[in-house]
Amino acid sequence: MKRWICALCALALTALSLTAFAVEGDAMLCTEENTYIQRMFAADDLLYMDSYDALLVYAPGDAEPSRFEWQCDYGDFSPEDASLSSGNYELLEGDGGLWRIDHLMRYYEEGSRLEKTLLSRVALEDGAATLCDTREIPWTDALIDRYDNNEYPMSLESCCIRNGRLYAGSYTWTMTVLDLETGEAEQTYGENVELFMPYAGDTLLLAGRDYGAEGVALHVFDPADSSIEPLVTVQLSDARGLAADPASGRVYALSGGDVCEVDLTTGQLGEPLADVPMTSNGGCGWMLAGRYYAVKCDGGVVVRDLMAEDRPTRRLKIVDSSWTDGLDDAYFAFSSVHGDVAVSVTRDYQGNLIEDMMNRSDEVDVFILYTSLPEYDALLERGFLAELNSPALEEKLANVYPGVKERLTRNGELVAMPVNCYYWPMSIHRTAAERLGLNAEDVPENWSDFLDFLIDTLPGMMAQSEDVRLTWDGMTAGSVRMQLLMMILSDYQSYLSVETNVSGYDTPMLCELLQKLNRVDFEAMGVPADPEEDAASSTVVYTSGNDELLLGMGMGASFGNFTEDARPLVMSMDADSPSVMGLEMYVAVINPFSDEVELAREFLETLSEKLPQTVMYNLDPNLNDPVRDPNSDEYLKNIDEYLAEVQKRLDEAADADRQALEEELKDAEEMAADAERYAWKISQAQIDWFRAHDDCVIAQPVNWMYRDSSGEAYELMQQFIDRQIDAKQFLKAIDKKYRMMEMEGY
Amino acid sequence: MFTKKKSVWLFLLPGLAGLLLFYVIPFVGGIWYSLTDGTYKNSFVGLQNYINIWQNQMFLLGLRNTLLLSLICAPTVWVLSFVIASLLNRLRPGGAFFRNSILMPYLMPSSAMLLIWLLVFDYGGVVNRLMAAFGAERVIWLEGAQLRLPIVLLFIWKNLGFAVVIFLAALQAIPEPLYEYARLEGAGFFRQTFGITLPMIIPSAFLIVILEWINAFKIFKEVYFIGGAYPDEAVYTLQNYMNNMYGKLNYQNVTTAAYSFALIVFALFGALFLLQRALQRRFS
Repeated sequence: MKRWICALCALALTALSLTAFAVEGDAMLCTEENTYIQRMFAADDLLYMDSYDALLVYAPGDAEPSRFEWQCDYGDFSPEDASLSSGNYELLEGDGGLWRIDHLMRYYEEGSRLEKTLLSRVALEDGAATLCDTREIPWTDALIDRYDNNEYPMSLESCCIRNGRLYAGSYTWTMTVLDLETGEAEQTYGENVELFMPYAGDTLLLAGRDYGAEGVALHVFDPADSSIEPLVTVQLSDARGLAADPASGRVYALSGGDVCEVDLTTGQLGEPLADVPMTSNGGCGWMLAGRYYAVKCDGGVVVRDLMAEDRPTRRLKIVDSSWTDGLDDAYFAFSSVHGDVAVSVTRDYQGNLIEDMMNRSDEVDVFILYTSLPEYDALLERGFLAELNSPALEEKLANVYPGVKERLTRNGELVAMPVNCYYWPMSIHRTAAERLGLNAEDVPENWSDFLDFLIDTLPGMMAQSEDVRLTWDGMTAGSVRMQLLMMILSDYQSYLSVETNVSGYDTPMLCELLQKLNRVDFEAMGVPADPEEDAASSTVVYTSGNDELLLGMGMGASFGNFTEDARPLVMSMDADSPSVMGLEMYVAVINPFSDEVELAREFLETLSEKLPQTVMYNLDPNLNDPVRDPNSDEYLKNIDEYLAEVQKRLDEAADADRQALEEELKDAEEMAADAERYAWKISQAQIDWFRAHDDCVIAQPVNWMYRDSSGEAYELMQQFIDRQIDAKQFLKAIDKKYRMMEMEGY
Repeated sequence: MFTKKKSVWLFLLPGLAGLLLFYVIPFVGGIWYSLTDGTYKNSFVGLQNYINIWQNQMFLLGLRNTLLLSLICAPTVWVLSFVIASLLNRLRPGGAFFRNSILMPYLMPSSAMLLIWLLVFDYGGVVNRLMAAFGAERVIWLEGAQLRLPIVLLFIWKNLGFAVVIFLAALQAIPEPLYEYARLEGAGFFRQTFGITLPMIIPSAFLIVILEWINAFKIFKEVYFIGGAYPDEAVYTLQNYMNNMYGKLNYQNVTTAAYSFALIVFALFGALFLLQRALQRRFS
């Protein structure tokens, strides 16, 4: 008997701890990796979530949302010719129903055009979301983007229908009102409407920020007479997550990972009512039945009961400065085991980290910090990071590169856990190099020879080719020289950290490098000296994937962000000195003054399991198996199906349409050829390249120039670039400052 | 004189409470900081912080520069203020105008004075123009070791007036008949100065020495404003060191440096106090 009672108790406790949250009505929806919610809104106390292939409908208390697969039959308006296809669409509510706006696009060789816009009522029945009563509606130029020969309908941030008129908000922060019958359009409250939502008495609550003003201003817009009345200014940095309950007129805001009610007389936020993982948000929040708050995050949709009596008694606050992948998953995994803990994640940290540590503040439990900033250095050197004391994390990080691990430990104890790694070297675009007759592999990988290459060899090559530019449009000789100077100084600092026989900046080697830098003639390579001379083509062209630009500065060369077609250059100072690959990292650390150090430790363990594989591949030289993209098989299958479909359309097409379809088939075949290349999340080629540099991987040291608040170092750099001082004077000045900082120590 | 001594303590209590709260307790608390390792655990390490800091080159540099600047500034202000006060003492009817004028820099905000100094000592400023007019080469006064001169001049300009006022009050308190008697006895200017004036103003003189030395020890904001957290080695003061340590969360080094310096200051002023007492006994 006793055994049965114990077993039942254990089951009950397990069930309790496995509940998503302690509070009935709290839920996590759509957390599966493949369910991306494009748009979400509430109507009649139901939450509608659109995920491209299906419409999900959730009522508070449901175990999971109901799923209705989209059946997109436009009836008489179905596209008849192959060049007309469905573009983006919007789902919205209003006038007693659900609606869908579809844009049909025509694609030409030169560009695209919006052909027609359709409005359909959405009916939900038997697991299907069908379109009915489809009709063509006018669209307005105010909601169309145009550039070059392309036009696209804008994606709407907020939208609804009231009395046959569409109210639409977009990234332009204006609200456009479109009469769906006549096509007349006007812009109401012409600026700074970040988003809007239904409010009391069939009005709309507008939220936005005026430039330079503090707080988010709320206004009430009445569609009946187009009047706008100011309501209150709320103490928020942006309007994301704001939610209004039309029945009661209450407004709720999301701040610092907490949901709070807004005092509509003062604009102040009340006590936290619930927590959400605020790593990302797609617009406003929504209220259901006057008490449930729903908001969309990267990891899913979170629903919280704001009026529950039993809230979690314990609390864990995480400040994330890095947009860490996996943080949402960790949040959900951790919360599902710890229903009694309110976990809030925020990027909105108003405090001063150093001052807070000096004051022994326990407000934040976990920080995610950038290791190349002085703040992390100060905390690490002064011992203001709690030891992780976690066998799981010790084991996970046991094989991390030694040059990186010393940045994670203090006195032999692990005090930080990496959550993201980057390496941003200079790179050579292979395609652009080929156009010059240059083999990218022949470009020197030490600064001395590289600068000689820029002085003696490259100008001649560039003069013979008009197709290749050295770097981005909009850069001048001065700015390129400054970029290179900063990279040389940064690499030199990394070099000093590994070469113990050398100290200071006033060295013959560095002086020679800077003198060479001064001799590089960037104008001979097509880079203008003066920005006004290049005003006609002042558009910045991004280097990623662009095969006209030879030199890429700061391009990804770590697992998770390798830039295709680029040869990264891991530079040494000269042919005799070692190369250094300085990894920049974001790390999670525990506030030693936190009241929940053990809980924070556990959260970090959970987070470590949810991080992308690429993080550990950057840190652990023993991980060498290629990793296929889990979506690649489906992607390859889709490509094959698309190829077959285009071929079929080509076979059935009339002569007039054949040319466009042949072009489309050719593009599709190129995509298929490239598909295998992009099928790997971590490819063997990337692994081989990275591991070839195993012996030079370190954690990028803090740029000492950040520690000097006077900014003199940057002034000196500018004086050197402007040739007001020479290399010797420049190095003497910064060396003096650098040595003083080093001698002061910590 | 005080018939109810116990009530005296009641009147002194607020002041004593403030002294305790804002001076004594922080002073003792600071000593504790200087004896711990500064991590979040705050372990006791004895005198290790003191050993480390006295081996740190930048601390020693800052200490050296602070003492050097004070050795230049304090005596210079003392001598100049005595001379000016003596002159003003002779200009009885018109002296008030000059006395008020010389006190003006003391009342001005330092930041305003610094701006004036930056203009005056700029490469194209008044000083360099005068030098150029006399055929000398221009000097970059606001950079490098040359910055020491503007700093010293600024200190003298700012603090001279207050010292003059104190000296003037002391000089005016010396009875005139003493000088008349000395003149009748055939005493010249120097004999009168060393025999009457200086002995009579010993307390005020020592007060000015101490005040000016304390002010000289506090030279920092001028250096920081012009040279930043890491100025030239010639003007890098102890306060620069402590300020930088504070910015790095290193409370331990800040307090250790402060108490090390406090010991030196106590020793110095203790010696001055003994000297003052000896001189007073001799001349009385």
